[in-house]
Amino acid sequence: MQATSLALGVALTICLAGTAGAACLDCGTVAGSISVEMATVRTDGPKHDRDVVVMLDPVGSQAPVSDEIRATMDQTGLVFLPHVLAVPRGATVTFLNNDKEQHNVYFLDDRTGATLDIGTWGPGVSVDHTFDTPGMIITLCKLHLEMASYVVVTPGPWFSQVAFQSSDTPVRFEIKDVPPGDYQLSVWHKKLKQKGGAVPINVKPGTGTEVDIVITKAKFAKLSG
Amino acid sequence: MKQSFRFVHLVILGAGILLFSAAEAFAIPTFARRYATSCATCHVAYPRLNSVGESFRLMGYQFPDDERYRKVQPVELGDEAYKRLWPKALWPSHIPGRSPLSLITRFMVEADLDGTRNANTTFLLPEEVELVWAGNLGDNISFYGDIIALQKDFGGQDPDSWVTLKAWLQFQSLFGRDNAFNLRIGTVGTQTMGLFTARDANIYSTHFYTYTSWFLPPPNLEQAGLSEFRGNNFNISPQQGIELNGVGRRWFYALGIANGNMNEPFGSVPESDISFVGAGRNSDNKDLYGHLAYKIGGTPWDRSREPPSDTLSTGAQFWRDDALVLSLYGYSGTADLKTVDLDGNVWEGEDDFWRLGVGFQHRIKDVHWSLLYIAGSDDDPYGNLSDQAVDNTTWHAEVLGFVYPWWILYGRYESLEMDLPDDVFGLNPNQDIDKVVAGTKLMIRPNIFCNVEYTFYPEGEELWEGLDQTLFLLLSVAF
Repeated sequence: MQATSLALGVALTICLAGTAGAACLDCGTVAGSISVEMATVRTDGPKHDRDVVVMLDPVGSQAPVSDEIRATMDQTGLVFLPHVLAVPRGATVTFLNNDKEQHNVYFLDDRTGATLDIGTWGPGVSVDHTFDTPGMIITLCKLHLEMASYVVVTPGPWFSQVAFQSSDTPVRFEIKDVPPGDYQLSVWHKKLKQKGGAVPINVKPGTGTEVDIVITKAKFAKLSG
Repeated sequence: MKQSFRFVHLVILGAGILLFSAAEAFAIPTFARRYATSCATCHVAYPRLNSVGESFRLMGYQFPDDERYRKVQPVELGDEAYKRLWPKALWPSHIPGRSPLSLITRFMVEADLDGTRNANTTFLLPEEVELVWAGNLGDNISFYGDIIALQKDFGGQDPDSWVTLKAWLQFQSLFGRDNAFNLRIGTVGTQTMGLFTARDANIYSTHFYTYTSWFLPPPNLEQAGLSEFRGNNFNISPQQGIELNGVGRRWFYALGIANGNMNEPFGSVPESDISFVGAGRNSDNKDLYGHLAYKIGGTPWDRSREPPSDTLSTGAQFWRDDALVLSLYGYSGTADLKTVDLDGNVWEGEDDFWRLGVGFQHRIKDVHWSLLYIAGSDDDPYGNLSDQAVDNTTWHAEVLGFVYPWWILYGRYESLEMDLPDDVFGLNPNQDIDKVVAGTKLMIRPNIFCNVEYTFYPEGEELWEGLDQTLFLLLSVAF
């Protein structure tokens, strides 16, 4: 189950990266490491917190809408799979029911608190939903209260979803095919925050930009460093 | 006369509250562990089951395609391949991968608002502790058992504590389609005695239904000139026996044979203070019962695929399942009677009796309402004290509604009428009761609830003064 989740996340990242930069000749790359400080991440179980999403938001302009992107979130064995799904703004996610139970999909916008019940359906049925606004959407099932997943809607197509194998081992991320310009680099994690907050970066044509990121508990995140 | 009323009150109350422990456990959290799922997956608000939980129970504590949902795998007692080698090998089985034990604790405070109890405020902290075990042994065997320790106080009049035990083993799908013919051995009726639509194990309120908590009152021994009276103390509650049951898409049935009435000392807890529910002195008189239920609309009990599986619907909640369930219940038995007068003369005889009931339960959106009516008759319940047969009727109407997923309001009106003989010395012929229960249930967590409940008796309050105009605060936790 964990392996499936990871595979889906990785596959999606690769797919998106390839799509976003297919025709970009002078684009750069943003890469770096993510490490955990003064905290631990749970890497096992259906509701792990090993996933991290790194995303870029262009400064002074709006990222293109990725309305051609599609992704899938399954409901199987009373678990949402994957547990964390990063998609760009405009992407459409197909919510599947692969159980023999009825399932519901109920969104809670993490920032605004707004809710949206997109319905309840039975075995084998799927429903599409397009995410038009960047943000983090907690996805719940009103019929099975323990079920939850996270849809991270990034401002644009430049993002990377990676997963920790342990709390002690940093992970590498890489966002390819980023057009030159100024960006805010931010990180989403289910429980931890980006130390020091979002980072301004400048991507130069055809070059790589290295950024090392630390995530930690919220009470430590505001400290500079 | 007042003295005799108090005596009767104590007798009925004592026996009635003893039976409050007799139903199935209020919840079985071991299943939450097995599937790593919330209590709300199976419960409207525990103990009442929702459509998923009712199906899970009826299918022998299994989901359809159960393996898909299990987070804790069972331990194999033999590989599946040994089935192919039978009879040259043991048939394989499973045992639960984790302990199948659960604990439930109830804490209660009783506040007497009319000042008729010895104690105006009673702390029963805890009132009850239940140790429950349940699960499967392979695909076609399920089991259940509990040990319940209780303390009661009866308003400061009759403090007591005792332990009861129940257990059953069920062999499922003996032949034919899945779960159409299941054989249950042990404490039968933990899930099927009484009307399907008004099961004590599904109750919202603090106390069980009146129809499962009463029996024919005995006369006052002194006024009747007796040293012993053993009447028909049958009531609708779990017993020891054997049951054939089955479930399909819309139907459920149970047919059983049980020990019948217990020849325990009347109106008291068992002498040993520890007893198997339904235990008593055996006789050759075995009782028969039958039960039918039919569900119209909603999710089918066998969870077979059908609409709304292929339609989208909004507004779904774990407690909703718009459906009407009809149930029929019948019981026929013979009770051994015995009287001993003050001179030591012994009379022994029998009372043939029956009960027949019909029930409705309608769940529509956030409101559940139900009706129950049971009629019965005893041909000779007072033996040589009276030749009069006794007819009885019980009915109730109940409604509850969800304000929020964690806040439920409920009310119930119950009535019991007994056509008692007027020629038995020491027996008050008018012991009918009407009872009103009004309360609210707060789900503090999926596995912790609090009830605030008020009970009063428009009729028969002098017989039930321990419960009349009484406010109950109940806190229950299951894990």
